Amino acid sequence: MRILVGVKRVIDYAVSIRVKPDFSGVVKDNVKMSMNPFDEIALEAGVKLKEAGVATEIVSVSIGPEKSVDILRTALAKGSDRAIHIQHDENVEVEPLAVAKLLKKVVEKEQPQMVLLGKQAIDDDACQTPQILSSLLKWQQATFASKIDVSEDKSTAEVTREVDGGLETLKIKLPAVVSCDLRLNEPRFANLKAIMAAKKKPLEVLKMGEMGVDTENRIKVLKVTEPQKRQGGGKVADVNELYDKLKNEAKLL
Amino acid sequence: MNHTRPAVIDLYKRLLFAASQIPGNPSHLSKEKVRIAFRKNSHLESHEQIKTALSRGEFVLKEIEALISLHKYRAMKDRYTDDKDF
Repeated sequence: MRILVGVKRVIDYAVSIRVKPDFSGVVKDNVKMSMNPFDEIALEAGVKLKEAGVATEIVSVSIGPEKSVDILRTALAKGSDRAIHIQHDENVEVEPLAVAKLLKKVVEKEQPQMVLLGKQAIDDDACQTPQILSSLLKWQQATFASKIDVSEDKSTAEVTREVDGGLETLKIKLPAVVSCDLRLNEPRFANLKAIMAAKKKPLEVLKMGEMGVDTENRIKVLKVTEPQKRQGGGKVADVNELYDKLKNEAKLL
Repeated sequence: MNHTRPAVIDLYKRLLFAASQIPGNPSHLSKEKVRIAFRKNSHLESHEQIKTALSRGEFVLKEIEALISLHKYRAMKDRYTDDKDF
Protein backbone atom coordinates (compact mmCIF):
# COMPACT_ATOMS: atom_id res chain seq x y z
CA MET A 1 0.00 0.00 0.00
CA ARG A 2 1.39 3.34 -1.07
CA ILE A 3 0.73 6.54 0.87
CA LEU A 4 1.04 10.03 -0.53
CA VAL A 5 1.84 12.76 1.98
CA GLY A 6 1.52 16.43 1.13
CA VAL A 7 3.92 18.83 2.82
CA LYS A 8 3.95 22.61 2.59
CA ARG A 9 6.77 25.04 3.27
CA VAL A 10 5.46 27.80 5.51
CA ILE A 11 6.85 30.52 7.75
CA ASP A 12 8.04 28.87 10.96
CA TYR A 13 5.43 28.80 13.71
CA ALA A 14 7.70 30.61 16.19
CA VAL A 15 8.40 33.60 13.93
CA SER A 16 6.41 36.76 14.62
CA ILE A 17 4.68 37.70 11.39
CA ARG A 18 5.16 41.17 9.94
CA VAL A 19 2.79 42.71 7.41
CA LYS A 20 4.26 44.50 4.39
CA PRO A 21 3.90 48.31 4.57
CA ASP A 22 1.72 48.34 1.43
CA PHE A 23 -0.72 45.75 2.96
CA SER A 24 -0.20 43.38 0.02
CA GLY A 25 0.90 40.44 2.16
CA VAL A 26 3.36 39.36 4.85
CA VAL A 27 7.15 39.68 4.82
CA LYS A 28 8.70 36.42 3.64
CA ASP A 29 12.26 37.53 2.90
CA ASN A 30 14.95 36.40 5.36
CA VAL A 31 12.35 34.70 7.51
CA LYS A 32 12.84 31.20 8.91
CA MET A 33 10.74 28.71 6.96
CA SER A 34 9.88 25.17 8.01
CA MET A 35 7.43 22.37 7.38
CA ASN A 36 3.80 23.06 8.25
CA PRO A 37 3.29 21.46 11.72
CA PHE A 38 0.10 19.66 10.62
CA ASP A 39 1.93 18.21 7.63
CA GLU A 40 4.61 16.96 10.03
CA ILE A 41 1.84 15.12 11.85
CA ALA A 42 0.52 13.69 8.58
CA LEU A 43 4.00 12.54 7.64
CA GLU A 44 4.50 10.95 11.04
CA ALA A 45 1.16 9.14 10.63
CA GLY A 46 2.36 7.76 7.29
CA VAL A 47 5.71 6.67 8.69
CA LYS A 48 3.98 5.00 11.65
CA LEU A 49 1.72 3.06 9.24
CA LYS A 50 4.83 1.97 7.36
CA GLU A 51 6.55 0.86 10.54
CA ALA A 52 3.43 -1.12 11.50
CA GLY A 53 3.74 -2.96 8.18
CA VAL A 54 0.53 -1.52 6.72
CA ALA A 55 2.11 0.77 4.16
CA THR A 56 5.01 -0.15 1.92
CA GLU A 57 6.02 3.19 0.53
CA ILE A 58 5.67 6.80 1.62
CA VAL A 59 5.84 9.44 -1.13
CA SER A 60 6.07 13.09 -0.09
CA VAL A 61 4.95 15.80 -2.43
CA SER A 62 5.38 19.54 -2.09
CA ILE A 63 4.25 22.41 -4.27
CA GLY A 64 6.41 25.45 -3.81
CA PRO A 65 9.40 27.51 -4.89
CA GLU A 66 12.89 26.10 -5.34
CA LYS A 67 13.66 26.20 -1.61
CA SER A 68 10.87 23.72 -0.84
CA VAL A 69 13.52 21.12 -1.56
CA ASP A 70 14.78 21.63 2.02
CA ILE A 71 11.35 20.68 3.37
CA LEU A 72 11.24 17.59 1.17
CA ARG A 73 14.72 16.57 2.38
CA THR A 74 13.44 16.90 5.95
CA ALA A 75 10.50 14.70 5.01
CA LEU A 76 12.88 12.14 3.51
CA ALA A 77 14.99 12.24 6.68
CA LYS A 78 11.91 11.62 8.80
CA GLY A 79 11.07 8.41 6.98
CA SER A 80 9.62 9.17 3.57
CA ASP A 81 10.93 6.97 0.73
CA ARG A 82 10.59 9.28 -2.26
CA ALA A 83 9.78 12.90 -2.87
CA ILE A 84 8.15 14.84 -5.66
CA HIS A 85 8.66 18.58 -5.94
CA ILE A 86 6.28 20.58 -8.10
CA GLN A 87 8.20 23.76 -8.60
CA HIS A 88 6.85 27.21 -9.25
CA ASP A 89 8.43 30.66 -9.30
CA GLU A 90 9.14 32.62 -6.15
CA ASN A 91 6.31 34.98 -5.06
CA VAL A 92 3.59 32.94 -6.74
CA GLU A 93 0.62 32.14 -4.54
CA VAL A 94 -1.10 28.87 -5.38
CA GLU A 95 -4.70 28.56 -4.27
CA PRO A 96 -6.15 25.42 -2.63
CA LEU A 97 -8.11 24.59 -5.79
CA ALA A 98 -4.94 24.65 -7.90
CA VAL A 99 -3.05 22.67 -5.26
CA ALA A 100 -5.80 20.04 -5.24
CA LYS A 101 -5.71 19.82 -9.05
CA LEU A 102 -1.94 19.38 -9.02
CA LEU A 103 -2.18 16.74 -6.29
CA LYS A 104 -4.84 14.96 -8.35
CA LYS A 105 -2.34 14.71 -11.22
CA VAL A 106 0.23 13.22 -8.86
CA VAL A 107 -2.34 10.79 -7.43
CA GLU A 108 -3.29 9.61 -10.93
CA LYS A 109 0.36 8.89 -11.65
CA GLU A 110 1.36 7.34 -8.32
CA GLN A 111 -1.89 5.46 -7.55
CA PRO A 112 -1.66 5.69 -3.74
CA GLN A 113 -4.20 3.98 -1.48
CA MET A 114 -4.29 6.90 0.90
CA VAL A 115 -3.49 10.60 0.75
CA LEU A 116 -2.45 12.09 4.08
CA LEU A 117 -2.50 15.86 4.44
CA GLY A 118 -2.32 18.31 7.30
CA LYS A 119 -5.72 19.75 8.20
CA GLN A 120 -4.57 23.22 7.22
CA ALA A 121 -1.41 25.22 6.62
CA ILE A 122 -0.46 27.73 9.28
CA ASP A 123 0.17 30.51 6.74
CA ASP A 124 -3.09 30.95 4.83
CA ASP A 125 -5.24 28.71 7.10
CA ALA A 126 -7.46 27.82 4.18
CA CYS A 127 -8.36 24.28 5.36
CA GLN A 128 -9.66 23.43 1.88
CA THR A 129 -7.12 21.35 0.01
CA PRO A 130 -8.00 17.89 1.46
CA GLN A 131 -11.71 18.45 0.94
CA ILE A 132 -11.35 19.74 -2.63
CA LEU A 133 -8.93 16.94 -3.49
CA SER A 134 -11.29 14.26 -2.25
CA SER A 135 -14.17 15.59 -4.31
CA LEU A 136 -12.00 16.00 -7.41
CA LEU A 137 -10.89 12.38 -7.06
CA LYS A 138 -14.38 11.22 -6.01
CA TRP A 139 -12.72 9.48 -3.05
CA GLN A 140 -14.02 9.31 0.48
CA GLN A 141 -12.59 11.74 2.99
CA ALA A 142 -11.98 11.86 6.71
CA THR A 143 -10.94 15.25 8.00
CA PHE A 144 -9.40 16.27 11.36
CA ALA A 145 -8.27 12.74 12.13
CA SER A 146 -7.03 12.02 15.62
CA LYS A 147 -6.66 8.25 15.12
CA ILE A 148 -6.24 6.10 12.01
CA ASP A 149 -6.74 2.32 11.92
CA VAL A 150 -6.39 0.52 8.61
CA SER A 151 -8.20 -2.83 8.34
CA GLU A 152 -6.18 -5.98 7.72
CA ASP A 153 -7.19 -6.40 4.10
CA LYS A 154 -6.43 -2.71 3.56
CA SER A 155 -9.79 -2.06 1.92
CA THR A 156 -11.22 0.10 4.70
CA ALA A 157 -9.99 2.33 7.49
CA GLU A 158 -11.49 3.49 10.74
CA VAL A 159 -10.75 7.11 11.41
CA THR A 160 -11.57 8.91 14.63
CA ARG A 161 -12.08 12.59 13.99
CA GLU A 162 -12.39 15.57 16.26
CA VAL A 163 -15.71 17.36 15.98
CA ASP A 164 -17.30 20.03 18.14
CA GLY A 165 -17.77 18.63 21.62
CA GLY A 166 -16.49 15.11 21.06
CA LEU A 167 -15.11 12.43 18.80
CA GLU A 168 -16.66 10.81 15.75
CA THR A 169 -15.53 7.50 14.29
CA LEU A 170 -15.89 7.00 10.56
CA LYS A 171 -15.39 3.86 8.53
CA ILE A 172 -14.13 4.81 5.09
CA LYS A 173 -13.34 2.83 1.98
CA LEU A 174 -9.81 3.09 0.69
CA PRO A 175 -8.48 4.82 -1.35
CA ALA A 176 -9.33 7.91 0.65
CA VAL A 177 -8.10 11.36 1.62
CA VAL A 178 -7.33 11.85 5.31
CA SER A 179 -6.46 15.21 6.87
CA CYS A 180 -4.66 15.11 10.20
CA ASP A 181 -5.38 17.06 13.36
CA LEU A 182 -3.03 18.02 16.16
CA ARG A 183 -3.57 15.09 18.51
CA LEU A 184 -2.93 12.28 16.03
CA ASN A 185 0.68 11.73 17.07
CA GLU A 186 3.93 13.39 18.10
CA PRO A 187 6.26 14.06 15.18
CA ARG A 188 9.77 12.69 15.57
CA PHE A 189 13.16 14.33 15.23
CA ALA A 190 15.37 13.05 12.45
CA ASN A 191 18.76 11.80 13.59
CA LEU A 192 21.98 12.64 11.83
CA LYS A 193 22.25 9.28 10.08
CA ALA A 194 18.78 9.68 8.59
CA ILE A 195 19.56 13.23 7.46
CA MET A 196 22.67 12.02 5.65
CA ALA A 197 20.79 9.08 4.13
CA ALA A 198 18.03 11.44 2.95
CA LYS A 199 20.48 13.19 0.65
CA LYS A 200 20.69 10.01 -1.43
CA LYS A 201 16.95 9.31 -1.64
CA PRO A 202 15.23 10.02 -4.98
CA LEU A 203 13.64 13.44 -5.48
CA GLU A 204 11.74 14.18 -8.65
CA VAL A 205 11.38 17.79 -9.77
CA LEU A 206 8.45 18.80 -11.97
CA LYS A 207 7.58 22.25 -13.25
CA MET A 208 4.13 23.52 -12.30
CA GLY A 209 3.61 25.11 -15.73
CA GLU A 210 4.22 21.81 -17.48
CA MET A 211 1.67 19.81 -15.47
CA GLY A 212 -1.21 20.74 -17.77
CA VAL A 213 -3.30 22.15 -14.92
CA ASP A 214 -5.14 25.44 -14.75
CA THR A 215 -3.49 27.17 -11.78
CA GLU A 216 -4.86 30.62 -12.41
CA ASN A 217 -5.82 32.48 -9.21
CA ARG A 218 -9.53 33.06 -8.74
CA ILE A 219 -9.30 34.93 -5.48
CA LYS A 220 -8.00 38.49 -5.24
CA VAL A 221 -6.39 39.54 -1.96
CA LEU A 222 -7.50 43.10 -1.31
CA LYS A 223 -5.66 43.89 1.90
CA VAL A 224 -3.65 42.12 4.59
CA THR A 225 -3.59 43.82 7.99
CA GLU A 226 -2.34 43.02 11.46
CA PRO A 227 -4.90 42.16 14.15
CA GLN A 228 -5.97 45.07 16.31
CA LYS A 229 -3.60 45.82 19.14
CA ARG A 230 -4.95 45.10 22.60
CA GLN A 231 -5.46 48.25 24.66
CA GLY A 232 -3.74 48.21 28.03
CA GLY A 233 -5.66 48.43 31.27
CA GLY A 234 -5.54 51.34 33.72
CA LYS A 235 -5.43 51.76 37.47
CA VAL A 236 -8.10 53.57 39.47
CA ALA A 237 -7.31 55.55 42.62
CA ASP A 238 -10.45 54.94 44.66
CA VAL A 239 -13.96 53.56 44.65
CA ASN A 240 -15.51 56.79 43.44
CA GLU A 241 -13.36 56.84 40.34
CA LEU A 242 -14.12 53.18 39.68
CA TYR A 243 -17.83 53.86 40.03
CA ASP A 244 -17.53 56.83 37.70
CA LYS A 245 -15.69 54.82 35.09
CA LEU A 246 -18.08 51.89 35.26
CA LYS A 247 -21.01 54.22 34.87
CA ASN A 248 -19.77 56.66 32.25
CA GLU A 249 -17.09 54.81 30.25
CA ALA A 250 -18.16 51.18 30.41
CA LYS A 251 -21.86 52.06 30.81
CA LEU A 252 -22.37 49.00 32.99
CA LEU A 253 -24.33 50.65 35.79
CA MET B 1 40.29 6.80 23.39
CA ASN B 2 39.89 7.47 19.71
CA HIS B 3 37.00 5.12 19.06
CA THR B 4 34.55 7.36 20.97
CA ARG B 5 35.36 10.26 18.63
CA PRO B 6 32.63 9.54 16.02
CA ALA B 7 30.01 9.22 18.75
CA VAL B 8 31.08 12.55 20.26
CA ILE B 9 30.93 14.33 16.89
CA ASP B 10 27.54 12.81 16.16
CA LEU B 11 26.15 14.01 19.49
CA TYR B 12 27.74 17.44 19.00
CA LYS B 13 26.09 17.94 15.62
CA ARG B 14 22.69 16.74 16.81
CA LEU B 15 22.89 19.07 19.81
CA LEU B 16 23.85 22.03 17.62
CA PHE B 17 20.88 21.34 15.36
CA ALA B 18 18.48 20.94 18.29
CA ALA B 19 19.86 24.06 20.00
CA SER B 20 19.17 26.14 16.91
CA GLN B 21 15.49 25.24 17.21
CA ILE B 22 14.98 26.16 20.87
CA PRO B 23 12.09 28.64 20.87
CA GLY B 24 12.73 32.08 22.28
CA ASN B 25 16.52 32.03 22.34
CA PRO B 26 18.54 33.46 19.47
CA SER B 27 20.03 30.38 17.85
CA HIS B 28 23.67 31.54 17.95
CA LEU B 29 23.52 31.88 21.75
CA SER B 30 22.13 28.39 22.25
CA LYS B 31 24.77 27.01 19.90
CA GLU B 32 27.50 28.79 21.82
CA LYS B 33 26.28 27.08 25.00
CA VAL B 34 26.71 23.70 23.32
CA ARG B 35 30.22 24.64 22.23
CA ILE B 36 31.17 25.75 25.75
CA ALA B 37 29.82 22.54 27.25
CA PHE B 38 31.84 20.41 24.85
CA ARG B 39 34.98 22.50 25.33
CA LYS B 40 34.67 22.04 29.10
CA ASN B 41 34.92 18.30 28.66
CA SER B 42 37.57 18.32 25.97
CA HIS B 43 40.31 17.41 28.44
CA LEU B 44 38.63 14.08 29.33
CA GLU B 45 40.96 11.15 28.71
CA SER B 46 39.54 8.00 30.26
CA HIS B 47 37.01 5.91 28.40
CA GLU B 48 34.69 5.78 31.40
CA GLN B 49 34.56 9.55 31.80
CA ILE B 50 33.84 10.08 28.12
CA LYS B 51 31.04 7.52 28.23
CA THR B 52 29.45 9.29 31.21
CA ALA B 53 29.70 12.64 29.46
CA LEU B 54 28.16 11.16 26.32
CA SER B 55 25.18 9.70 28.16
CA ARG B 56 24.66 13.02 29.90
CA GLY B 57 24.71 14.72 26.52
CA GLU B 58 22.13 12.28 25.16
CA PHE B 59 19.91 13.06 28.13
CA VAL B 60 20.18 16.81 27.54
CA LEU B 61 19.38 16.30 23.85
CA LYS B 62 16.22 14.34 24.74
CA GLU B 63 15.18 17.15 27.08
CA ILE B 64 15.70 19.79 24.40
CA GLU B 65 13.70 17.79 21.87
CA ALA B 66 10.87 17.35 24.35
CA LEU B 67 10.94 21.09 25.04
CA ILE B 68 10.71 21.95 21.35
CA SER B 69 7.84 19.57 20.59
CA LEU B 70 5.90 20.68 23.65
CA HIS B 71 6.33 24.33 22.71
CA LYS B 72 5.14 23.64 19.18
CA TYR B 73 2.18 21.57 20.38
CA ARG B 74 1.13 24.29 22.81
CA ALA B 75 1.42 27.01 20.17
CA MET B 76 -0.74 25.03 17.76
CA LYS B 77 -3.26 24.18 20.49
CA ASP B 78 -3.55 27.83 21.52
CA ARG B 79 -4.07 28.96 17.96
CA TYR B 80 -6.41 26.30 16.67
CA THR B 81 -8.41 24.94 19.60
CA ASP B 82 -11.29 27.03 20.91
CA ASP B 83 -12.18 24.78 23.78
CA LYS B 84 -9.39 25.39 26.27
CA ASP B 85 -10.07 22.44 28.57
CA PHE B 86 -10.37 19.85 25.81
